[in-house]
Amino acid sequence: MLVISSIVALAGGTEAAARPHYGGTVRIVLREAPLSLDPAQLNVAQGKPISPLIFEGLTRFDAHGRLQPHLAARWEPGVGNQRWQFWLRPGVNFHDGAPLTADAVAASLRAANPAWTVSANGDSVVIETTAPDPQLPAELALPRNGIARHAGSRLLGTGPFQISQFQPGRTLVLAANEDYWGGRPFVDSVVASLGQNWRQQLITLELGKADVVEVAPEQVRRAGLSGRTIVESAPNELIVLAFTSGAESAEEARLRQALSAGIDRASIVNVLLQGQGEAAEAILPNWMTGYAMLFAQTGQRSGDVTATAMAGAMTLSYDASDPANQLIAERVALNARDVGIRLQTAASTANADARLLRIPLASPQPQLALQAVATAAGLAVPQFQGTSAEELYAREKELLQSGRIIPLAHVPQASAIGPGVQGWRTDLFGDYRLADVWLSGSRL
Amino acid sequence: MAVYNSQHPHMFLRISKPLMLGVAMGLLLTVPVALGAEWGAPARSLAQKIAAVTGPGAVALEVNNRSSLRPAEVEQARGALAAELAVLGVKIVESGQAANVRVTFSENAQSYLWIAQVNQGGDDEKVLMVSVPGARTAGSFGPSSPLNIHRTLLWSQQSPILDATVLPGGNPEHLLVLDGEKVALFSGAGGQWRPEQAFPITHARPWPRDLRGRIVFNREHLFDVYLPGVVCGAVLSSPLSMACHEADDPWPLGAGSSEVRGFFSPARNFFTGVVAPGIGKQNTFAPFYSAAALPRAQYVLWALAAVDGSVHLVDGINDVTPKLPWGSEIAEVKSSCGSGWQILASARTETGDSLRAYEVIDREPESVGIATEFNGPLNALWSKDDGGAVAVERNPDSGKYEAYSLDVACHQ
Repeated sequence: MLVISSIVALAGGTEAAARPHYGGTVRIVLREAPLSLDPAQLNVAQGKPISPLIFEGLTRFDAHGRLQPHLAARWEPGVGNQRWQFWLRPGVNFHDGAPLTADAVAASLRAANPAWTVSANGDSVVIETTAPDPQLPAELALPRNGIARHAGSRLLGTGPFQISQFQPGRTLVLAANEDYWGGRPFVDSVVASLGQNWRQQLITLELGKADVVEVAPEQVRRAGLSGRTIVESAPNELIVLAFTSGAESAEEARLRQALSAGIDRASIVNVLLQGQGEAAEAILPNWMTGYAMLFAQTGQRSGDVTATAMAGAMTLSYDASDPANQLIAERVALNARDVGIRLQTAASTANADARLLRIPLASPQPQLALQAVATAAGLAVPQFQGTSAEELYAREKELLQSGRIIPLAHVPQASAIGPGVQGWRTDLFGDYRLADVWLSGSRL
Repeated sequence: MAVYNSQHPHMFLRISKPLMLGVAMGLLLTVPVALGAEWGAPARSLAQKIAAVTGPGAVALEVNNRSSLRPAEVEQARGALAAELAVLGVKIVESGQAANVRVTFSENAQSYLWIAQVNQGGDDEKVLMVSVPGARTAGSFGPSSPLNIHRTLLWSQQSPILDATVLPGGNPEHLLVLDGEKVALFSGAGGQWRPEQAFPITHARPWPRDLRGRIVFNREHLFDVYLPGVVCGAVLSSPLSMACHEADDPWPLGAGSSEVRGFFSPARNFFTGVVAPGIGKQNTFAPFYSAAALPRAQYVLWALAAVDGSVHLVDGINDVTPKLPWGSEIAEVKSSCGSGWQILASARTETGDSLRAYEVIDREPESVGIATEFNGPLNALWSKDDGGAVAVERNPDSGKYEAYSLDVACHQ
């Protein structure tokens, strides 16, 4: 909880004594380059930060990572957590002025979740799943479950901004929803440039052509030295080695254990990521679970491990679009050599034994985050009967003991904010709450 | 656990005595921040889990703290756990042949997490966990220092406070707190404010972002509430009630008893600039966020904090715009210092907002004291009929909104 408060305080430091001004256009730049804005087309980890500005879920996570009602005013589970009923918030309209109805919500959720049975029931929606799903309220906060309605060629939501122009993969222009149920946004519009890499984004900010850009972890310190405001989330991305198959022998399993124990995670974080993030031996960060320290590998460091490790050869592939990935992969290979393992690195090789992945944690809800990691790493997706910490720990331990995944680091999401942008509050999980942002000075 | 129901804190308690009107406001009460926690239930739960693994007998207990619990709280929690273990026949010993139990007090974004690692020899370590709801509350302020502006905490809560006011007179004292959903009435008792009644606010249109509102004492029916496009008034019935209606009635400017009123934009966060009945011969000004009145012998000098960042000093004939480092929040306060009236003006600091008192001599405001620093941004500042003011801060540490009563004292 201390970590969280410090993050929120950091973000809150950008506020001025003046009250918010209305008007102006805030310009943001993103690496994501979506070809569609339809929430139903998103996977569990996609959609941030744009989609929630347009499409809202029945629930959402607040700035402290706590689940809150949103388009739903309240909800109740049936016996066994397999049937859920959500009562809609009254007085909410789509961007064209049509009221939000249970029928519209049911249709939207069915499109995104064909396996669910979703029906309207008066001013409520009933969702039935094929298996107990205690995480359902948290799932509904994912961008892919944002409520959307097709009206001819228009895609409508209920959020604080509506789509004004969209060039798939290139540019998105949003206009303020004048009748937004949560209060009209301060800015008149948002212009998002899509598909820009880290370097292009910083240049755009330096040229004064952007107000908000994403910053690579290893560039945060440098960006901060230039006098810009940097805001960070809690660590919400996992850097991990994922093996494409299970160990085929006990010896291979020991080899992987030796590799995991031999990796100098502190150097990866402190040197390659410039101190941004945390060394990770758990899949989920400690702020999310509180028990990550239980996975620390004590007593089997280099000397012990080298003695047990056997000579072997493995290949490790990485996504070369981010230069940091190559550096991390090469550092892992260097550490592997120290424990007697030959590890060859290669950019985007299809037949590699392992892949270096950067996996967004998808949700502040740890059960959902663990499922998202398993999906992205190609592992069996853990199922949960409840929300207890013990069950979560057991499922995470099983994934680690599968020998198919080696966590390296958890890194935060960072953004650089240009002058004249006020009221910015990065929340715990890095959502962009642009409805609260306002512009001052020459940017107005 | 998986059920959420919106809170509807409508309480319908009767006011114990008729409120006495017209008596000067007395000492304000502070609300102690509740610290500490109840460790009995989680200690019992974890002890049962440990005992189920070890059975009755001796265990060696090691306790680590990786949470924001303070050392004294850790000792309390450890003591509670040891007591519960003893009840279940588990005796704590130094070490030796006993099972080892390593307890870690940790936390995550949702709760505290108590972890027990039970090792009875060999590799078969059992890990047991108990989630403990709780959150760190805000730190308290230190003793007041000899500043110009004295402040007293009136109330704090999670939802944004728009205004708060202590009703004059009455025994016990009564406090009204306005937020976007209700006016809450509290009575003072035993050094604390106790909730008596809550009056829900009805409105047809969505509230604007950066919602503002104020409570104004009314000698006839106790209080009025002004919100964008909505006006509410207390109804002297038994029990006390409140009625709201959609209206663009102008809000009182300065202290609530001022005759000058300003129209507030129903969809924005500022006054439109149109005032009634006017300041002297003028009734239209640039849109402004706040206003403060400084009574003079023959007239009233008004300060308006305009939306464009300028400050206008107007008296009905002249409109002077001095360059001042003022933010958007200003309010007048009455004191025994200087001319008897000062303006409190907000300003930005590195860590939060501050308030500084200004004396306005002729048309030139001069700072007359040391700024009072707040930890976070000021959300509201309103003058009150008793000559003081109320400021609302959003505390960045706790995330709570805190309403303070302000008054200006002279250096001795």
